[in-house]
Parts: sequence; structure tokens; C-alpha cells
Amino acid sequence: MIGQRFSPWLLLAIAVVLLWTFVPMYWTVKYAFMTKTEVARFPPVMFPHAPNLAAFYNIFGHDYTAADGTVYRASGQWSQIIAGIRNSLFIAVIVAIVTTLVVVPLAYVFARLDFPHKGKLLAAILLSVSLPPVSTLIPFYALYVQLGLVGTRTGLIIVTLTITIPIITWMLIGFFRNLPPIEQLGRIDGFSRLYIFARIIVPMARSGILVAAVIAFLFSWNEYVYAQVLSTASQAVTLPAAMSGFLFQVPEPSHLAASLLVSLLPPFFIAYFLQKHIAELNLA
Amino acid sequence: MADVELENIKKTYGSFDAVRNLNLKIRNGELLVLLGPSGCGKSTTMNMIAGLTEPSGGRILFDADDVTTKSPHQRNVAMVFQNSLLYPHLTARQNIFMSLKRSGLSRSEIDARVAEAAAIVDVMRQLDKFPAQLSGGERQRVATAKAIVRSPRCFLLDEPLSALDAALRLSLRSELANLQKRLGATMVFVTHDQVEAMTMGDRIGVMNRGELQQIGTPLEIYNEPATLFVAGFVGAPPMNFLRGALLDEGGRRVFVNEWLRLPVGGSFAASAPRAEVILGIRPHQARLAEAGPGCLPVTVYAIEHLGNETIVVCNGPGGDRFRVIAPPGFSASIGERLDAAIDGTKVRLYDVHTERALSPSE
Repeated sequence: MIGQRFSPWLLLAIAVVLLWTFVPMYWTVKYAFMTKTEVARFPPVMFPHAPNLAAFYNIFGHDYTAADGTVYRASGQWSQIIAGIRNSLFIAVIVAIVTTLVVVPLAYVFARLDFPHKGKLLAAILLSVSLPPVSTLIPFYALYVQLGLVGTRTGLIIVTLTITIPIITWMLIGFFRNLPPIEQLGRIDGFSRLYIFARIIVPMARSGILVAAVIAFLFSWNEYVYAQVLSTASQAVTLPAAMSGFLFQVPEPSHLAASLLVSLLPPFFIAYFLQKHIAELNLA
Repeated sequence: MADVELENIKKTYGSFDAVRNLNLKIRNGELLVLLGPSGCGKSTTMNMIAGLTEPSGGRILFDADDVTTKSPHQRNVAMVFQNSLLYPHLTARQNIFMSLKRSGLSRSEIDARVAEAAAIVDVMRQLDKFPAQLSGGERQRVATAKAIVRSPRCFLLDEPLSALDAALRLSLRSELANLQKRLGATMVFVTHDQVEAMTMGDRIGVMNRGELQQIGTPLEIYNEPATLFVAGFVGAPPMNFLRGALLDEGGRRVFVNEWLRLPVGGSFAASAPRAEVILGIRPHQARLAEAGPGCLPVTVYAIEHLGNETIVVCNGPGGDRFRVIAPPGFSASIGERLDAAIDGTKVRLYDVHTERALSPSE
């Protein structure tokens, strides 16, 4: 049995998948701790000779003096990165809150109540899930130029909500459908629909609601396409848009890698603390 | 507790008749079982009594009080749902408490009644556990306590035992029936399990395709099934059916088909003769015998030993299954030719078209 389960082919397949996944990630992580000259060397350096934190100092606006006396200057874009973190956090928190407030009642109603034209409205939600965000980019830009929303956090929040609300509604409908017919129990006990929703369904669905909020947060935190077009070089720049400067304007691989690692921290901690609830939601 | 009366109750969903013209009276203190296969309308009927589903027509009376348009809470019914549904985020005590939260009673009185209800079903020690921490039987008891705590006019139970394992179902079944008699409660119990219905019910209402087929005591249902459906649904092993004609031979009724000539006595001795009838005979009222008049030639298909008796599953000459009860230890080989003797005074006769039992006289 054991011999069969760990056949050489399976081990090989596992190895390929692991390399496939981890080598590019390692490559990025490695860059964050290397100097610009090391990054440029050929053949590439597999392991940094003297890993240093220069890039992390530089992207937050500090010079870094290496052990050999070399001084690495602060990045010219550090204020964008700081503003990006602040804007991204602000937008993601607002998007998570608004999405949750809208999506929980919406998904509940679709999952548990019957009303005229329900099928058509559900199809409309599915349609907006299936639209690629890029397809609405130009219309939104044109609209925002006229409304004066380009380069504002409000504009980004609105545009992100148009993505998060349909997708997360769709996710939560399945979750609410799987709840037992607890409304009937509540009606026998004499509670109103509103009381049943607010005081019975919501506490029961705590895990699902929490996960919905987190997914909305992550969507917003990772959103790049709209942010790139609507916020770059403005007061409202978000972290992904700010980071892209290290790729396009003055290529700085180690700064890009360092800011990428910083941007991974919030999702990492969220995933770590919520794994129990995510398993409970059982999205399959 | 109250008399519950349903007058011409209907429920349609679009063009689908879930319940058709149902008339039913549940007497004060009676345990009425609604029995039927899934989709027969029994749960819809119960939901209409509860007030969870609005009937499309007809009236529901509690004593003389018309409650058709009243909410479940105004009707003061208690309901135990499938799988003994409880609020999963509340403890057993809080679950029972929720039944009285809207009752307007004082907190101290509610606490006293919760304790009393918990004592009746013996769940005092489980009161601070959450439903997920309770066993199937404990959940069932807590759900029952939640129902009795409000002193309802009527208890409604929707397949509360169906998700439990067989042994537990057996013990909870008698526990519930005992509790119902102790409280003198009016109770409606919905199930698809005919054994549960036979063992618990004071009366059984058998439903199929939205219609009440028959209502009566368990023995009436078993001995005098009014329709072909009831005859086939109630009783294990199921009743055997044969097609044939009912002839008049010198004032006596004789059931005749290709393989059988059986003089009919008992309740159908004076029924009107007709070309097509269906004869039903319970396996317990047939036996294996020497070939002779009133005997059906059968071949053995399977033998099921129950210990106290043996079910011999045969293929009848028409190809239909024909079951006969034999003494314990009976043995025969598969494919063996046997003869089944049928007691002509114990048969049931049904009209082919209406599927109702023939009337006893012309």
C-alpha cells in the first residue's frame, strides 16, 4: 500500500508541482534581499552572498549603509509606497464593510425567499460576475473623468464594489441555502422576519459573513487593473499601482520584490487567523 | 389542548395540487399520524395546521376558533422539525427559552417553566450544552422540551425521528407516545415510516398525491385498507395483488383468473360482480400447501428468515412477486414449484379503475 502510494512517478509529480510553485516565489523573495548589481549578474545568483535589508529601508524612504560602507539611497518613490499602503488599507476596509452590509441581506433574500423575477435577477448577478473587469475599464474611465472621480479613493471604492458585490453575493447564496429551515422555528416562536434575520440567521452565519468580509478585503487589496488606470500618480494611488512604478518607471527589482513582500503581509495574517472559519464555510 | 379541524383544505403551487380538498378532525388529546410517501402532501398539511403555509382554500379550526389567517404564534402551536432542529448558536436552555421569549411571561416564570419542561424529558444536565454537543437522542428531547414548555394547543412533529439510528428510533418512539398520553396532548405526527405510524398512532391518516386516502385506527388501516394504495403501503411484508374477475356463481362470489378459482367470503361475499378486480391478500393470510382448489402455483424466488417466521418470496404465475409466510426453519430451493393456499374470507377486493375497495353489498 505505502509503496504504491509513494511511487516514484508520484514523487516526481509532487516535486514538479512544488518547484513550479515555489521557484518563482523564491526568486522574488531572493531579489528583496539582494543589491541591484547582484540582481543584474549573469549567470544568476541562486543564493544571495550577503543578504541585506537595503531594499526595505529604501522603499520606506531611508538610506542604508552596508557593512562594506556602500550607501544605498532611499527610493525616489517612497512617498508613493507609503501613500499606497495607507490608501489600500483604507479602501479595502471600506470595501469590506460596505460589501458585507450589502451582500449579507442580498444573498439571504436570494437564498431563502421567493419573489417575482428572482431567476432573472439571479442571472443578472451571474452576468456581472462573468464580465471581465477590463471590459468596463474604459466606460468607467470616461464616466469618472466627467464626474471628477479619477484619482479619488471614492472612485476606487465604487469601482471595486462593482466587482466584490456580485461575486460574494454568489458565494454566499450557496452558504445561506445550506442553513437548516430555521426561519420556520423562529416563526413558531413568534419572531418577526427582521428579528429572525438579524438575531438568528446572522449569528448562525457568522463564519460565512466573516469570510465574505475577508474576501472583499483581499479583492480590494489585490485589485490592480482599475487602480493602475484610475489612481496612478494621484493622491489615491494604491499599493499595487505604486509598486508597479518599480517595474515600469525606473526598474528596481529589489525594491519591487521588497514592496511585494510587504503587500503580502496582510493577506498572510488574515489567512492564518481565519483558516478555521474558511474551512467551516466549505465553499465546495 | 384543542380539537383541530380542517375543512376543505387545499394547497396548490402553480398547477400542482399539493393538497386536495382535505377534511380532517383531530380530537383533543389524540395522537394522529399522517402517513405517506415523500411528496404526498403530509408535510404541507402539517405546515398549514402550524400556520407556516397559507392554505389556498378551506378553513382550519382550533376548537370553534377559526385560525386560518392567524400566525403560528397566535395559534399557539409547538412544532418539532425534521432532525429535531434547534438554534445551533444557542444552548439547550436558551433554545427552550426562545419558545417563551415572546410570551410576555416574567423572566422568573419562564425560568421555572424551562426547568419544569427539561425535567419532564430528563435533559436537566444537558441544558448548558450547544446542539452540536448533544447526541441525537438528547437533541430530540431538547426539541420536545422546547415544544412542551409553551403549553401549546397542539403539538406538530415533522418526521422527528427519521435521521436517528434504528435502535434509538425504537426507544424514542415509545418515549414520545408515552409523553403524549401523560400530557394528554393533541398531537399530529408526520412520518413516511409505516411501522412508526402503526405503533404510535391513535389514528392514522394515510395520504397519497395530496389526497387523504383513509383515516382510522391502526387496526382498521391494516385490516380494512380502503384503497389499493393503503393496502400496498401499510404492512410488512407488503400485500400481494392478483388481477382477475369477480363472478357470481349461484349467489356466491368467486374470484377467477387463469391460475386461480377462489370462492370469496368475508366482507366481500355480497359485492357486485365485475369483469376486472384486483384481489389483495396479506402474506400472513396465505400459506404453502398441497396443490388444490384455491391454490396459486408459484416458484420460489428468495427465502427470508426472520427467526420467528420465514418470508417466502415467490414469483407468481403472472410474473408478479407473491409473498407467503412459512413457519420458522422452512426451507426450499430457489426455483422450486410450490402452491400457495389463499384464505378466501380474508381477501380484499379493489376496483381496477377507482382503486377503492368494493362495497360490501350490491
